[in-house]
Amino acid sequence: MTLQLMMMTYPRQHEGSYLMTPFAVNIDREATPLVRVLASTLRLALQRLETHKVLSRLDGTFTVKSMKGTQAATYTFEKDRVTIKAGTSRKAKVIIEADLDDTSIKPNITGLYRHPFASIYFGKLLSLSLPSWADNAKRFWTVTLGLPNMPEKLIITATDESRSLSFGEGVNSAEIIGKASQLGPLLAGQSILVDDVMRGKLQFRGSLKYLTGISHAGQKFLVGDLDGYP
Amino acid sequence: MMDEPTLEEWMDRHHVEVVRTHATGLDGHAVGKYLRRSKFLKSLPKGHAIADMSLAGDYTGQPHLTIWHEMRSGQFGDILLKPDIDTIISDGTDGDLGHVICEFTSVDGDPLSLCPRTLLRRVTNEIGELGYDVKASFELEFFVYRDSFENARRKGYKNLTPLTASRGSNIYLLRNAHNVKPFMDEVLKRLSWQKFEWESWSDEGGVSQVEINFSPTDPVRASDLIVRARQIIYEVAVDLEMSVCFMPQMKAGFGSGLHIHHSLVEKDGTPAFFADGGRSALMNDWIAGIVTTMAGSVSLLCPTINSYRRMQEFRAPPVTATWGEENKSAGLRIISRAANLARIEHRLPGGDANPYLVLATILAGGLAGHRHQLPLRPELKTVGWGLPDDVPKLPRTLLSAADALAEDNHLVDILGQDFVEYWIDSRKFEWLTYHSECGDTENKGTTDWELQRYFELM
Repeated sequence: MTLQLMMMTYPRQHEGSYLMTPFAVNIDREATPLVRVLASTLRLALQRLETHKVLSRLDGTFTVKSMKGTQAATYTFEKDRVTIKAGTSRKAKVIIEADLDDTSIKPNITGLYRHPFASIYFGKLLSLSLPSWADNAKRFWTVTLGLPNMPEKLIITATDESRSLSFGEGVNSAEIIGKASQLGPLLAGQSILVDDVMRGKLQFRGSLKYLTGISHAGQKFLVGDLDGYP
Repeated sequence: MMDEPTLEEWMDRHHVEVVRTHATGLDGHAVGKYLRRSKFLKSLPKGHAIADMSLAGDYTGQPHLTIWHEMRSGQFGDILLKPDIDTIISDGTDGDLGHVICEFTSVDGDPLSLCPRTLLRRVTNEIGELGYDVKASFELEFFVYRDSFENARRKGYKNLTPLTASRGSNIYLLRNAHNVKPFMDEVLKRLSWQKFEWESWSDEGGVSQVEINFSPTDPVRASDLIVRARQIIYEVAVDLEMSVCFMPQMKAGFGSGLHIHHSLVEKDGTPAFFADGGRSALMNDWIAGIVTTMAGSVSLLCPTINSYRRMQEFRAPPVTATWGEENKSAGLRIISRAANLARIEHRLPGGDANPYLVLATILAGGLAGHRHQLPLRPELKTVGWGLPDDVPKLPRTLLSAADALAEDNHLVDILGQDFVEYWIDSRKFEWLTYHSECGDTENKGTTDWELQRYFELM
């Protein structure tokens, strides 16, 4: 099968006095959800100087794999780009085996002693934080606007910040409720609402049609059908 | 099946006190209820209620909650199973039991675009309006093991004990068949009691694999036979404390397919695929349409992650969008040496395919070829495996197959945009489920996740 590469290049941006260079994050059409999540986190983080500093220290091939299952992804860094693919690689100079659901668990690192600095920077790359849930919420609303079966009005409430954001107007509304840390991945297109609700991570108030519609948007992000979103 | 003037008289004569309704969901799984005679009769003609997720859910019972369809009348509502009374039969083994095939409808009794049987009936009717009847027959392949389902479960569905004598890739081996015969005798007895027109069965290429061939009949009945036969084969395995598997590729080696033969006949029964000693113009159009839409059809013919494990070069399933006379390695095998034999064999569908959707899709391709006079690609006269890139290849992954279907305007036009969009989303849901729950991209063989998900329910 011919892999169709998807490339998004971010323009130079000023952050303070620092000039950030363009950096491309490449994944293929059939990138797995794990690869998409890693790529979207990195793309979102490219807006920050810290990310560019980390990227400037990375060169070659690195793998992250799940401690609990078979999920894995391999990063290949070049000067101004990284390609992320599913699976492991024999070329990887550092392999970080981590609990992909719980970053508090200490990972196992292969290659740490041979490539100590590269290991540290790759570890930093894997721990990049997402923009605030509020920023993600604005982007989520913009990108999903016009998709079928979405509510006219969407309210998003972060319980631990006692803060709600409301998007759109109309009587046909839905509300997503949860902690900021759980809202972030959903609104960054990295999880599916109905899964998060069934696992107790988030709560939802609205019709089945809207629960399905918002969840469908999440599915579209994770299979790569929604453009214009990291 | 009824030979009495009224349903009640038929039920009296056959001592039917309980009726099992049987419908087929999108993924091909059988759903239904056991109804007391009085309840069954009272439910007619509309049929009885059933949760909407029975039509639109996956093998594990997980409803499609990332895909909305207007058939959902409420938050979690009901739809109906409407019996096709012409299909009612007595069980033959269970004295009080009858069976009836159903279609899904809305609570108001309106047809649902997502119902596989309704879709096939609609496409068949469109061909009927052109003045043709379709004759179709399936070849059903499956594996049978000495282990009970309970034992198989304990063993993780691996290293199961075959029934057959040979451990090689023999085919038609009579010693293998003799070992399977007691199991098959029970299957065929039940098929015959339920008036199923089977023609033959034999040992197949996989170790402990069997193939049953059914007689040509109209497309809806041909598909009814497959869904009922799968259920009967499963029930015989349970009753004999054995196990069976219809997965396209449950282990390395040969997989299980659902080959389909079909032809068109005039209303007077004259074969329409034969003229002047060879293929008729209609048959050429039909082939052109099926080949043109073949890449788009893969999604419906190969509906699960496991389907694509079977699509390997030199392993029996075709991998190219091609056709060839008497060429089993081409996408379509064409038989046109005599009027009464003239037919198209499609060898791609896997053992996991929903027979209603398989036939609806293949017939839609033929219909598109006829309607639009699509050009016939040159015949493939070589071996259809190991070919260079200038020969059009079929999609080899669930996601690329879904993309190919989305781009196929002919199939979208005939199968309906509403249905196709839902189907594509459901395949993406299946892909996402695999990659979220398993995600093994390195093991090219069948994963434990697939065995756990499909072995007993497919």
